[in-house]
Amino acid sequence: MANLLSTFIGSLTTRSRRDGALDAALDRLAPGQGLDRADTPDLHVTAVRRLPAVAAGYAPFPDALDERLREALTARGVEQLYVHQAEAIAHALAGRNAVVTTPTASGKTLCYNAPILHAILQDPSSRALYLFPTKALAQDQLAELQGLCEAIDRATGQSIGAFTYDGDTPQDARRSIRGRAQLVLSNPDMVHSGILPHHPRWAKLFENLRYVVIDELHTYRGVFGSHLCNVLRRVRRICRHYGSNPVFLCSSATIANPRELAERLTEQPFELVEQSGAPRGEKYFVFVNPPVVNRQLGIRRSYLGETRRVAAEFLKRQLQLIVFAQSRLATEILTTYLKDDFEDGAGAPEKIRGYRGGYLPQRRREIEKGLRDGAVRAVVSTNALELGIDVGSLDVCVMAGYPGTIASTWQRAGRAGRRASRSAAVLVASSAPLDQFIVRNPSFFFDASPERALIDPDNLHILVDHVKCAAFELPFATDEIYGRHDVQEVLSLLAEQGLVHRSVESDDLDAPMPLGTWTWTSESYPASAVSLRSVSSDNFVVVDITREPRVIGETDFGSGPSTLHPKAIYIVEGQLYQVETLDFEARKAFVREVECDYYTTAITYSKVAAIDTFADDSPRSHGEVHVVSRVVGFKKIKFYTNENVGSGELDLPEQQMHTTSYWLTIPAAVMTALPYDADDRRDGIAGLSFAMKQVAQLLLMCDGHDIGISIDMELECPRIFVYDNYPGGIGFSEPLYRMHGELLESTRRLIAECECEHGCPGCVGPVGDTGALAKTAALRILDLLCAPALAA
Amino acid sequence: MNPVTLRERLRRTVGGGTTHAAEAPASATPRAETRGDRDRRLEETLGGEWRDGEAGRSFVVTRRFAPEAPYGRSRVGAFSDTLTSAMPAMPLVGGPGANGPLVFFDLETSGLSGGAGTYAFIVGCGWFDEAGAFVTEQHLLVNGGHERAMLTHVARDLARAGALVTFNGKSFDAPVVETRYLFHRMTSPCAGRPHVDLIHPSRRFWSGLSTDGCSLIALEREMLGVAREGDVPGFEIPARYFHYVHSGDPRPLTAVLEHNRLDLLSLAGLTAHLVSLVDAGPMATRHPQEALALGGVYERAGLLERAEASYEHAVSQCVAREAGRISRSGADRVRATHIEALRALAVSARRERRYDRAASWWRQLLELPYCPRSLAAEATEALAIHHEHRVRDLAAARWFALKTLETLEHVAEVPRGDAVRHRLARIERKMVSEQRLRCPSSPWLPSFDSPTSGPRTSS
Repeated sequence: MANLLSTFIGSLTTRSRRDGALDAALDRLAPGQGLDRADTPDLHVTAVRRLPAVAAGYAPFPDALDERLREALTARGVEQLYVHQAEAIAHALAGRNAVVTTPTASGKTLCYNAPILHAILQDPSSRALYLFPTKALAQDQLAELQGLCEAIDRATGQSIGAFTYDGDTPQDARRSIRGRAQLVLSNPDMVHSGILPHHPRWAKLFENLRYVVIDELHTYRGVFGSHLCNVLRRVRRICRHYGSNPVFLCSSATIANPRELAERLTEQPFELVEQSGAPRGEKYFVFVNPPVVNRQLGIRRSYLGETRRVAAEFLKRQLQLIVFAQSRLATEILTTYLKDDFEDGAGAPEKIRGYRGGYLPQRRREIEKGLRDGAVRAVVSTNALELGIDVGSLDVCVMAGYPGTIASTWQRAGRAGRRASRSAAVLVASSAPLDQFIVRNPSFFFDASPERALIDPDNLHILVDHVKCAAFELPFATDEIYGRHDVQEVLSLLAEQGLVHRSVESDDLDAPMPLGTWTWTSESYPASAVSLRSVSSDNFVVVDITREPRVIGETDFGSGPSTLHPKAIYIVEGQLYQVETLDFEARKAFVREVECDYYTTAITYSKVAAIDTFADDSPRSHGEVHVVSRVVGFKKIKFYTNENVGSGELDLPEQQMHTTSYWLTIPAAVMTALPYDADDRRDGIAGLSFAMKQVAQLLLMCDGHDIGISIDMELECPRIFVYDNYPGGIGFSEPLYRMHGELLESTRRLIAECECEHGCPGCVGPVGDTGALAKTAALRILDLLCAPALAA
Repeated sequence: MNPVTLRERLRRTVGGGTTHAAEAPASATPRAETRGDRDRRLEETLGGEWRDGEAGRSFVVTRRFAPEAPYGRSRVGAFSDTLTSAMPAMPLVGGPGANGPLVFFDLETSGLSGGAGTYAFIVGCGWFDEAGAFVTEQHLLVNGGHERAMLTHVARDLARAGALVTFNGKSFDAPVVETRYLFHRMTSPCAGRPHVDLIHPSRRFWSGLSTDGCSLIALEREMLGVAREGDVPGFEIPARYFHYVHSGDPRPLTAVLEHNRLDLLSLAGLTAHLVSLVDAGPMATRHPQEALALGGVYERAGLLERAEASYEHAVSQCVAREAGRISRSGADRVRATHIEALRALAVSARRERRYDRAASWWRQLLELPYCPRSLAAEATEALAIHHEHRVRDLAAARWFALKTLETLEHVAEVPRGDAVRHRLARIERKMVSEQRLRCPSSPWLPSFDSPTSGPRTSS
């Protein structure tokens, strides 16, 4: 009893000690200010938000849930459910598709594990397929599932087979897994190229498939998401062939459209579960913007140095933390900094560890364990630790650079957070435009997420590739429907290429409109030619010729010229290579290892012509466009400072592409109302387009290379195109057209609130690239556009 | 979206030559042809018939090779006779349960990649009838819609088989067929039926006999004296079928069916040849490698005396050939056979606890000037054990252990070396204590490093 009491008191003091240490550290970061205060976009600390503690919301186990499962859960310490778990489980048991969006560490996995284990306990022939975006995540979830399965086995004697099936599964184990696995943990790529094409061997799985789990749903957007939708179309075709109709259970980070995304990906109606019942301790969220050191050029203090300083404030107060960096290189640098500051030199226990993809699994497990038991005081990680992996709860999360999306920022921040005590998350912005936008517009981040995950599964390139795969797997019926387009037209085209043949059922040959099938008539194995990560299978391979020539990477055709042009710096796992030659015809780039302190960005001239306007509501439009682009030169950009340290000219072949685009047409009235000469107007429009791209990227939840911008000054009314940088388009343009108002307003804020004088990389572009009046002119254009009389 | 624009967009975005153009586009399918026309054309061109069944009609081409028909150096009837008389030896080749009637089985498939989109468009089955003629039934997949019916008919053909005989069928044909039955949720007739894949024994008996590998074509030429004329090369076969499917013209299939029939007949001939060898024993072999492989067949079946006789025959044939004049590549093969046969003899003698005999085979092996190091190490190690434990000649044992160590150093096998060093240390300890027993006062230890004091002391 006395012992218990002292433990209790001990935990209290630890808690209050931790809280005190956290308060002290936060006070050092934002001196002399109340912790909860108004946003101050111009200061070093631009925002501090206090997220209050939330008490747990519990709900009983649903009555229908198998008694044996309840016992096993109780044995593992789960005595009641959080409300969101109970809600999701109820949907699943009733056969309704559900998507759960609750914070990190809120017990999401139980939402799908419980109904699945229930189904297997009720009928051991039931099967479930889990899809994870990465193999590491599947491994981690397997461990958790197996723990639960063992508890069930101990309690009931019923053993449940859970296995991962991915590229790492040994060949000789595959047959036995196909027969024995009731729970198959895999990833979309493996389902696409390893399971679906061999579905007869998986007949047991598809016949009895009750549930399909899609974890981390928000990661399936853009190209990857468009492919996944088609993979799921194929899964459902095969399920129909074997007579099953699985329920989909998804989990997602917070995005603006989780239900829409789930419904688009699976083409099924969904229930949304978003009210979390998980308890949460008080948390502080701090935005730090490294101070400007050169106002003229808009250059800020190094964000890595700033991260080191911030992390030190917490570390020296004995708080445990995780630091997220944006690249492997940055991870290594920060690890070195913190080791220098906090470790006692060689031989002393490693309190600071780095963590990234490429480390051996054993080393990773050791670090994860060290974090859980406290031996590791700080870990510096790439996004490898963002998803799912269990590292326990830490005190503080420091992010060196904006992770790229609001959703991942919250997920990373969720790595810090204890139920009973305070935690903090600090975002240190780099000088990249998106980082600057976010830290200077905190409400954009903290209020309802504007990020929408978008896909276009009916992109013809992607669609046709998957129709081939589907025809290989199961002949198409001549009245079958697949996707939004008329698949019969697609099949006719494939027939012309000799890939399929339309045959009629023997007994219907003489009927006037015989039903029949499209049979695969090719020796090829189409799935092997389709990568879920790119739009077309045409690509460039990168050959390292430093020593014996070897292939070290590949790049899709579209981005080949801009990333693999001669003298380009190509980066793989932190190693830098320089391109010596690009053999355009052979689709090969020959590279050699180099040591240098800069990277390159290509200067691409692109010309966009509208072919077909889908919708037009002046000044906004969207439609199909023809893009001709040519890489004409490149710039050398110094790491960390982003200084421009040189350039070169290039002469590469033109590339052409049909895609979809949003465009803004600036009315003649606005142009004539501008009190500037032609060059300055042009600068203003260029600056405006530069800023629009940053905002579009944020609204569309995409990477910089996913969209392209182009301006057309030749007309009386100039146009700014924001196009999908993939042949056929990937579904960005129509939503951007709809978000036109938000796009312009946020762009205006980005430019207006920037503290630079004449433009910087954070708003209309670096001064050297845009004219002295770019910022002023861009703002003027936006003001005029928003004045209804002129814009009409 | 209206289909015209979709069609245009499809052409514009993906139509640009992503794949090869078909030989004959689908639109060329003669629309006016009726079912009756098509049926007749198939029957006339390919000489087959439609067969009805509960799952629908399927097209079958039946042929009969008369017993007196010549095939290579032999006759069809001779294969049948051999198989009948030598049938008791079949389980030695194919394992227990491999009994007649044998059905020879070979597929022509739409590709080699496997998966749900790879299918068999000709399923060839062959067997000998009571008169000694070879009968083939080839099931042709007229189009994808007929597959279920075809598989039903195939299952009926295979139901007659005591055992299936294929060439490379365990790795290829059987999995493809099983996948098709699984696809249609039907039970595969291959499941649970004894299956003899001739490629494995063929490799053991005849690899290296022909310069172009151990393919069925190479083997039929070497072993049966068959020379095909105008045969379709294998890689061309799927394209011929696709051409037929797209155009409706069955003529390109005539040669494919012929190819498949000859594969079946050669498979039967090879099987007969192999089983007759196994039945007759080593004196019937023409090459030491056959005798060696025969020894393996008997040994796996537990017929140890016959195995030993076969190995010994292989050794004597090798000795005879090595004394004569043989080509360079022939010599290499004879040497490899010689080594393997000696090792097989030594290992089987040891297993039967005939240790002296085993030692003598090991010694013969060591005496071969071309004995490879890894085998020399195995032989000297076995001899060290033999001398330590059976003969109890520690000096010889030590010499062989040292020899093993020396050889292992060349092949850099550290773990094995450790075991040998351990043995050597033990032998030397024993020698010291024996020495003490004999003359306790003297610290003298003999030097065994000279090979002259080695192996011959106890032989």
